[in-house]
Amino acid sequence: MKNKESWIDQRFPLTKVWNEHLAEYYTPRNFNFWYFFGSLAILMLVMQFVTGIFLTMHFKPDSANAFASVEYIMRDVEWGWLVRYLHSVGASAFFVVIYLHMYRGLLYGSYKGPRELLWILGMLLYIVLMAEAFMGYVLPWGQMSFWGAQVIISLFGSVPVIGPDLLVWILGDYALGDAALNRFFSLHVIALPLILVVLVFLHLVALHAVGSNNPDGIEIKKNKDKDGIPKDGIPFHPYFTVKDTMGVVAFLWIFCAVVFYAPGLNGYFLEHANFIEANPLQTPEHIAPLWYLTPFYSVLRAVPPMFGSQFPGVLAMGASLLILFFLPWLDRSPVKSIRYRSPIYKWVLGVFVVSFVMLGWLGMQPVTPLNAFLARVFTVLYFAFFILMPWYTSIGKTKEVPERLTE
Amino acid sequence: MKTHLKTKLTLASILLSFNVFAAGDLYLDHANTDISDTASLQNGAKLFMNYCSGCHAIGFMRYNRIAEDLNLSDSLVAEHLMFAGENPGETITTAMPKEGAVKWFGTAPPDLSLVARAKGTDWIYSYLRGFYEDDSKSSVSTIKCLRTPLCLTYYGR
Repeated sequence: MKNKESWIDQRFPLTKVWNEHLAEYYTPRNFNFWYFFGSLAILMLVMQFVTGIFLTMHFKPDSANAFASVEYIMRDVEWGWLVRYLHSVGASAFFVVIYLHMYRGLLYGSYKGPRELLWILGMLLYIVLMAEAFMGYVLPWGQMSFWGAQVIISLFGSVPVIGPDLLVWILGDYALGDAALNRFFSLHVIALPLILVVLVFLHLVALHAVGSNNPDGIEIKKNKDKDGIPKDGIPFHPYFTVKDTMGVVAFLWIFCAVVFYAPGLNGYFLEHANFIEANPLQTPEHIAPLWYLTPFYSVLRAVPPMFGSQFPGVLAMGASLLILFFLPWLDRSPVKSIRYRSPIYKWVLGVFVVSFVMLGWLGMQPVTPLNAFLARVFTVLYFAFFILMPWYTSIGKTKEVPERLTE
Repeated sequence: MKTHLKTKLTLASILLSFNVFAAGDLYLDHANTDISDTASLQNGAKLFMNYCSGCHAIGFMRYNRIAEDLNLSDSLVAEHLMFAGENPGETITTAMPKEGAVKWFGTAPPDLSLVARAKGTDWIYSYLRGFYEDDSKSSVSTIKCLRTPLCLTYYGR
């Protein structure tokens, strides 16, 4: 009866939304370790928003004051050190979570139909997140902020014909300085977070439309009982709200250990050279982005300049990101999950993981002849994973996928 | 499952063995600092304020913060570490004018608030111990940056 609906439900579909997305949203019952990272990514987003709001209250987006204002936050603002470390460790933790979340997609073929759009929205999120992290890293205006930004922004200058004008347009000046810092601040605290929120919303809408994949890669919606409820599904709430809470507790335990005992993580989360104020007249001996951008930085450095231009390297770096968007169509395997894939695929995935980690490591190292050679080898292997995918996923013997979830 | 664990352990050990920020070719002595040794820290504060602060500021640090961290009273800090009638809440600046410093040394002595975070304690220890006097009676350091004057050589004797 209509009159039994609550006052709110007559005006806002609260119960409907609650049921559709939590209490009667059916989720595969066999989620494992790899399925914690989606909810943890939301946790990190909220953490960055909350800490970011408080940092914005005290930070000065001014090349003359930015560095000192961060130290002011660290030393003079009540609990400022904690807020800042939560934010800086939070940025790295966000990427740890996101990389594991994406790797889960690779393991269980979560990008395959009908989840192509879900994957693409996730990839857009990943790229916006990298831009967000890059601009955030410029704000403290340390040596690595400045010179890292100098390297990355100068890439735009290598675009043929329009490069130099594009560079001035991006910087708002003829050199990296106050104007750029100001606009990066604006993009970091308003524009990109807004885009992130919208994309997260769309990512979740797409997820709830198609339902979660699972470690077996079996569509639970193909096996429903007479009430139309998937036989292998259990309601997200309370089962996975409780399980995800357990994941949050375990995650925060490690996260807090880093925040309180090693917030810089020996240069991995806060580079040592970034504790020296930006000096446009003094180039550091060694410039490296933070760890989460280094695989792509490696690809950039691996490609030699051609026709007197660095542009081919920039294209390669762009391609190394763009190619991920095509994963759903490159994969021709009849099965989704690694559990039923051919042995060939397992080897190839192993090589890909090693290549990606090695590219990341090489991106932090100074260029030596050996490092440059290794970066080229791993760049080729990285691209080979995608380019050869239609071939190696269509050969080799896959195992038979069962009708129902196995555990 | 067992092979999974083995792979994970191998990957973890590879990652941990990377020393990203090794100081290049520079050999550094190990500082062996003990931040729980308050007496030693107090001694360090005394040495810094007497020998270094004439040229080097620690502009993000306040006198009363030193007092709090090193178990000293504000009045003790005022008596022994403050030389120009500052307020304990003030930041520790230097009396050396920047323009003069550029004229005398070629560059202004850097602010040292964050030197331990930027360079590490081993670097500071090696730097301080790296001075020796050569025949031309000028102070020379085994670490680059030769502009810190002779005082450290004398102190080292």
